[in-house]
Amino acid sequence: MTTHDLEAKAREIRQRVLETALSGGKGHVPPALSWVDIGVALYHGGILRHRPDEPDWRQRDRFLLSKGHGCLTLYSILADRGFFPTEELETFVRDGSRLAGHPDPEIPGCEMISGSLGHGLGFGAGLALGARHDGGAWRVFTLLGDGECHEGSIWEAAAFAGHHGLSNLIAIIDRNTLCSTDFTENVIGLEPGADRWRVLGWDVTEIDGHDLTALVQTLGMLDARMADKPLAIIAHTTKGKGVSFMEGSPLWHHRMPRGDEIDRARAELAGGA
Amino acid sequence: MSNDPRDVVFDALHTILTRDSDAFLVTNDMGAMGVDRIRQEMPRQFYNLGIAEQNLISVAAGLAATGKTVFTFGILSHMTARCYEQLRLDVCGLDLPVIGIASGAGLSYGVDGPTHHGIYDLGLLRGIPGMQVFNPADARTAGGCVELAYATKKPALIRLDKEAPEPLYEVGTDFGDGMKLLRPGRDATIVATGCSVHRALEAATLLERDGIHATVLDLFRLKPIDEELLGDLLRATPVAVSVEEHSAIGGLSSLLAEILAAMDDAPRFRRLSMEDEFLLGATSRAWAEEHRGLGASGIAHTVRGLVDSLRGLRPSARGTERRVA
Repeated sequence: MTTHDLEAKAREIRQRVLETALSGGKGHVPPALSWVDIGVALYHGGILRHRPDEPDWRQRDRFLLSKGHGCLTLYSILADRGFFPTEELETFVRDGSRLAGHPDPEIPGCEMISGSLGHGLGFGAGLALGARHDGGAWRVFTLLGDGECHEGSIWEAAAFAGHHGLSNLIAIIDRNTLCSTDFTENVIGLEPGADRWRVLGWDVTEIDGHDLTALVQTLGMLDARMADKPLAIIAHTTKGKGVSFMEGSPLWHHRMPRGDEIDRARAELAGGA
Repeated sequence: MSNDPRDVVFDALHTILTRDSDAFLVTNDMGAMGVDRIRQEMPRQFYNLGIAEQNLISVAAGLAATGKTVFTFGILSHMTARCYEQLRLDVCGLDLPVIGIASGAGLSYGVDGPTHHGIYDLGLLRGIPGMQVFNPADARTAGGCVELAYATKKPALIRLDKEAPEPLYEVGTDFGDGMKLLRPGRDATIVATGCSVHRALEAATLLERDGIHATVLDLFRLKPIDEELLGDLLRATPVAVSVEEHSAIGGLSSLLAEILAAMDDAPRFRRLSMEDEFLLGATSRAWAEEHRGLGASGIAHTVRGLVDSLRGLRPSARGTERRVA
């Protein structure tokens, strides 16, 4: 896909995120909008090796959505890629649906249960260790929320992966500067974030998490990377990206748009506002 | 063969890791002679993950998700509560073969203070769907539990005691039922687990002198339970007493109460356990046996009282066979 195509796909996914949440009457829309471009770069930009018709393909790259509350984007992308029918998105959070408010492996393409934060990096490190033992060429990508980096288990895992030089482990930090109710720096400061990863033995790259050209370029060079360290990609993003009144607002974490807000959000995501 | 459960367990692990290159041992910086041997002889299959139990369990789960069997080793109290959510979601949520070897069941480390008391975990572990829970009373059972858990390729936790008692079973015993009838009796059933099994056997001997014939049942697998088999054993006598070195909440007594509650012909039931309590300072096993009735005489006293009350005898009237009016 060209960058233009990827941008169009990201617009489409953002619209689907909103409509899926509206159909269910709930959902974490702004945390999902935050990482749409990262997800599209991975799944549609030719980065993530995957087979929608064979979700358990042994040589697949593993993608872990550690910030499980961002699942509206994962569901929309997986449906778009053909892991399950797009119509199934309309069942989101309905009784009996596979698509709950946080993901689990009942959903084709989901590797783990997430939604309680701080699990994805350690689990990913275990996967990466297994791949190394097997001589597997597959890689592990785990998407962390920045608020999630308040969890101590993240740093236990970061230290472990750094110590063992798990170069097949890539952590992408969705650095939208907001946790659930406030800015991360008002709660428990995370900066200087890059230094935290470096001292634990990681390579660090910082990137605009909404620049699809840069995302595909950076992620596309992973195999050529001569490294004996895991890689942290700090993706600077905007929570609620694409909906002006949600963007960067501590008010918008799991709040749902109502009334006129719905029309405005739809118009903005369609590119008409 | 050693009577120390840790020796037998690590011998069993050594055998498994030797024949299965996809089996691993990981620890939270916990040492043991058996661990050292595996570390030296099979370094590719051994990781010391440091004192970081949450990450240890997540890493073990991730490794297991690539087709490995991962044994973990650490102190029971730390390897359950500290990393409970990782056990629940990462291991059991994905039904992965991560098998915990956890040292310090009950008051094994009683004098080390409440941080090391292994008396709060059974309710936690039993509460996780898919978790197998083993609590062997001797070294041979412990070795058998390792083989059983390994064969299932599913989540498990094996509690180990520090005691090295004389073996209860022959080498080669099949432990598949999860429970063993150690001594038959017609008057009462003492259901015990872990170190309490040995006290229950002593109690049965004491009771025999009083003409009370007590069954002793060793329940070394607390989950899953063959409820039909256990129910049949329980209804065979009019009295049942549970004995465990664990909190009153969530352990063996809770388990039996759950089963008895569903029976129309349940025997009269009493529990012997630790209370719902923190034991600050140093607490020895001998103290618990004396103050919580977990020793042979305490168990015998409770069983005798129940049997007597059912026979219509005043407990104090034993020996005179005087009927209560």
